[in-house]
Amino acid sequence: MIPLAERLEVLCQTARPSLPLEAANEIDAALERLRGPLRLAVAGRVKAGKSTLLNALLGERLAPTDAGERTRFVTWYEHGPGYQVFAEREDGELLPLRFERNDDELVINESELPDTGILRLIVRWPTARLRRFTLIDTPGLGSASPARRAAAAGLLAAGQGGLRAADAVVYLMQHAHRSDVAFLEAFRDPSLVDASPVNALALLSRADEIGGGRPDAMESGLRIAERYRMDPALKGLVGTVLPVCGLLAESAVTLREEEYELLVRLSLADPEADQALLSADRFRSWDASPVLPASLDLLLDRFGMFGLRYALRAIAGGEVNTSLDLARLLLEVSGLPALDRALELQFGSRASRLISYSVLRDVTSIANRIAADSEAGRDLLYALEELASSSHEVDELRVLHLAVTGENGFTAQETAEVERLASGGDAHERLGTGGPGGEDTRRLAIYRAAAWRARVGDPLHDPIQDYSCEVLTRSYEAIAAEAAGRAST
Amino acid sequence: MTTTELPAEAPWAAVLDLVEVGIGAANAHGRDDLEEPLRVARLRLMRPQSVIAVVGEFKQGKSSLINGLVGEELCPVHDDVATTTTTVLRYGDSARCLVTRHGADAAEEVDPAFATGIGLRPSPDEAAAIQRIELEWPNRFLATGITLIDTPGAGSASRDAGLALAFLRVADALIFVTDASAPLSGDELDFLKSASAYCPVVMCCLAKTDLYPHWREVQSIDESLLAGAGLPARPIPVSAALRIIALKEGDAGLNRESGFPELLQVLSTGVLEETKRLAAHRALLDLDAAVHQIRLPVLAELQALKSPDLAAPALAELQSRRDRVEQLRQAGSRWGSVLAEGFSDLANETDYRFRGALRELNKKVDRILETADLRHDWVQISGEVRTDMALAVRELVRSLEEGSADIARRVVSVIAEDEAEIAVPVVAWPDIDVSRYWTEKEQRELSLGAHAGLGYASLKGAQGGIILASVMAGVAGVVLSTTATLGVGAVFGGKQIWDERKKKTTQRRQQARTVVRQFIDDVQFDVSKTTRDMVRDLQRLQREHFATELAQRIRTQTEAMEASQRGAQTARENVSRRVAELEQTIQGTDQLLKSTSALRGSL
Ligand SMILES: Nc1nc2c(ncn2[C@@H]2O[C@H](COP(=O)(O)OP(=O)(O)OP(=O)(O)O)[C@@H](O)[C@H]2O)c(=O)[nH]1
Ligand SMILES: Nc1nc2c(ncn2[C@@H]2O[C@H](COP(=O)(O)OP(=O)(O)OP(=O)(O)O)[C@@H](O)[C@H]2O)c(=O)[nH]1
Ligand SMILES: [Mg+2]
Ligand SMILES: [Mg+2]
Repeated sequence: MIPLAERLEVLCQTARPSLPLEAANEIDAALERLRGPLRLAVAGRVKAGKSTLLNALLGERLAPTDAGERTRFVTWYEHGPGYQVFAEREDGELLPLRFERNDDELVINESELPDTGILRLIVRWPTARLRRFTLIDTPGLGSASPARRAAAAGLLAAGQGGLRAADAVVYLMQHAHRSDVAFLEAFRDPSLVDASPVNALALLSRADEIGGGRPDAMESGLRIAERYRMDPALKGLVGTVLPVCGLLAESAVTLREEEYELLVRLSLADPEADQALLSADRFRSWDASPVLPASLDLLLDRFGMFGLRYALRAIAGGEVNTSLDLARLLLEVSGLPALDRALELQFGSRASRLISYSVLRDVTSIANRIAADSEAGRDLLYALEELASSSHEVDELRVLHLAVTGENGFTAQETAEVERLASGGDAHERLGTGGPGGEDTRRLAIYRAAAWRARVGDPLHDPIQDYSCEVLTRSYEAIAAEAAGRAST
Repeated sequence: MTTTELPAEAPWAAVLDLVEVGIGAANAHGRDDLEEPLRVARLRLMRPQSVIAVVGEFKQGKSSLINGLVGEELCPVHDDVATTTTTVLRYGDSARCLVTRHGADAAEEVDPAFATGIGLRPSPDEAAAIQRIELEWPNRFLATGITLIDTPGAGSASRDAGLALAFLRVADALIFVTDASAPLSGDELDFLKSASAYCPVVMCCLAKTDLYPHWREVQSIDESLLAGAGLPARPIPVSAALRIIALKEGDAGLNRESGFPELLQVLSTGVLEETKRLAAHRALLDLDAAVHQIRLPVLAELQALKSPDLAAPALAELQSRRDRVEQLRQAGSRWGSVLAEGFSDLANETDYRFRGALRELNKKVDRILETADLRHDWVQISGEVRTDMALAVRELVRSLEEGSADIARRVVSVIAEDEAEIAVPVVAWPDIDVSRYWTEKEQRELSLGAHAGLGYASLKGAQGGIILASVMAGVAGVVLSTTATLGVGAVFGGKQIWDERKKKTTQRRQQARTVVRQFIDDVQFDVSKTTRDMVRDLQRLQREHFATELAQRIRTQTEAMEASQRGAQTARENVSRRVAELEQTIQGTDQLLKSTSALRGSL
């Protein structure tokens, strides 16, 4: 079977010469993405902790964070050989921006940029983690300022700068607010592909605070996330819900030796420390503290009340003895490793499919726009629709969506089977067998194909269920055919 | 340290002293019927009832704030959604918990742990069946007369949108709670803007300051957001966590840091002062009425003593007045029919208008559903339905409030026309303590006797708010199915299943229409029943009130007749001593009346 990406590229190259120039360029830019990493947007309401979490995912403090509304522009963090920062204007012009590194934080000189007319900022940085995902930071939704509210609404509009340009989204929320659900629903694009459990994931962010900063706060976060996973309002919208403490994750991945030393000194002032840890104000104005007041401020900002309580307890209890130990411990409790695993499972393994799919969606919307005035555009649109409905990869994603949203009535076991099948890995991974094995693979695939074929046409089925069974039958047939081909060469 | 650091202050003390004098006078003249309302007035002054609703988005720390105020963990607090039902907290000599379920006629008494204990937290299904929880608790803060209402938070994804609106008329004050994790959101600001248009006092608290290092920054951002929205106020920073520790350990410094003393101060000046002012005002009215009625027989006796030759015609005049008042009490009196007709018109009119509003809502929903894509729009549509419903209910309660106040005024003027010479005009409005109105029947009888309640002069404000809150809690409890039952979760747009999708779209719309209709019907049923009960009770209360007032007047006239006869029969040698005695009494009452009018001016 020819991969969707290839077919898409061939189709567009053929159509290109007769298309209006502007549209052709846009399509080129969209196709370019087929060769890049998955583009993962981080979205959420104002102050959900988006930029902090993004830094944790990056392993560097590139995104600005603050207690007041901070992120003004959609900002793309892309892998690049050198260090570059641009502002892209709506007319496409790239303005280089000055920036400096201040105390390990990236400070971009963006204050002179106007509020309107800027599509996005682009930060190219040689960070290894950006090879895996391009990360997109976004301004918060639901602001009290009307201008910012309007700007955030614009995020959902299609186009290069908007959220729709992302292949997948990580959505941060502190409890599921009505507007969170409204956003996730709006993120769905009814034209071709919908944001769905397939390409969206939700986080219970700042989970340490949801638990009131108590030592067991993160466990409490786990339980609440668990409940949201089952919540009917969210179930059809996101793949999973996980608790994270972005602040601790960020501090853990960027922990410095001096910070560890400071914490060790504080942990020795034991009985006083308890009093000082009663509140942020008390900590900040801890008169007889063994460290300078400025260091107290720094620690408070870096770890928060929960982080400080947690770290000091671990150090005092002898659980950790080096800064490395501490970083490891904080990272684990922050929930970042679990998030990493979920990202890999949900987006990483099916990255190429998700990318092809979102490129197909974008090219289709370009074609849609020019179809009224251009014959070639109309032809392209028709061909793309044909492609979308004949691509088996698209079909598999659709069935996956139908399964995880419960629309085709699959059992949990069947849904897991679909998830495996739609992962886009090797044949044995997709089948869920231990390892590669030509003849076994073929036989198992044939067996599964037969099982699904037998279910097509069940009188109790609605067309959606039939469709699902047909697609799965074809998936297994393709695997069997491929295995047979490999065995014969 | 006590949990009631609310200052008890001077200006009202003078009124209280006067009321004491009035009670003494009524007692000295053997007028227990006049003494009773004065005792109630005294109680009202000592424990002025004010209702404070604590509102805000969910999980902001509302219940913790209440616990901080009362100094006990009365409301459930949890990291996950905790408050599922409107909970009314008020003073009681012993702990008691009443639960009212939807559609039930009476509240049911349950173990108080039901309201307070996390362990006994009702399941979501159980919670949805409960309309209201009332908790009476022997607590020093509540003993000051404050009723607190804990509310389920607004904004949660799985709850309705309209509920928040219900509290716009609640109470004498709202405490809006927002935590220091982030500046006020657009939703919160919108809520505050509309709230301030309806509630006289809206206070804003910035919660959980112990947890957020940058709360001062957030506070100043919030302050400028509020100022920008025309609501100049500085959010009061509080930490319930610190308050609890401070109370437990008796740590005054930590208590100050918790911010609660400042909040209590603001409550005291912003809310309690106002209710005390009202209570004092009302006390002076009652006092005047009592004093006038005490004077009347004294004056009659004096007149008979001074001019014995005129005693016979004077007595005849008193007799005829008494008869006229007596007649007013008979069945078929004009005020009685004004009252009855007034309420029956009011009931019809409000019902008619409410039905009209629901018809409009139905039409609107039909219109929206014609084009809506339910996979995406259902949350918004159902929110809109609830909001419109809330507005309709609010309108209904408002017209009941205004309508019954209007009827009372009409009755007063009819009584005045028919008996212009009743020396003391009847008081316009019966006491209704509506925070008790919602408790079970027998208690209602107890507390709603014309003067037994501790309420206000009208249904406006607090009472209307509680009624509305309860009705709305009812509305909220009526299930409006969510996305899940509508089969949201989009189908990908493959051509093969395109037709299937179309069919599903039509099905969904049909289903949605049915759901909305059902919802509107259910609410209408609930609301109609509540409205009928309310109208009937209001009518009965007004009738009883005016009957009691008239009984007092009759007794006064009867005593005046007796006094006049007594005066005429007094032995000549005793007359001058008796006159001096009575004149002294009159001077005393003159003095009292002068004081009340002076005090009234200073309130
Ligand atoms: N305790 C705690 N604080 C956090 C966490 N994540 C973020 N914060 C703090 O919350 C504030 C907001 O964080 P940001 O990352 O700037 O939030 P944002 O969503 O990017 O905000 P906008 O860009 O303005 O919408 C900062 O003061 C962070 O230090 C967390 O997990 N725990
Ligand atoms: N650190 C800290 N945590 C608090 C404080 N007040 C409340 N919390 C925590 O915030 C969470 C929510 O508190 P609640 O009082 O239940 O909030 P609520 O607004 O009543 O919540 P719902 O009724 O569920 O909408 C709980 O985990 C509390 O422990 C405070 O002053 N300090
Ligand atoms: Mg940000
Ligand atoms: Mg609560």
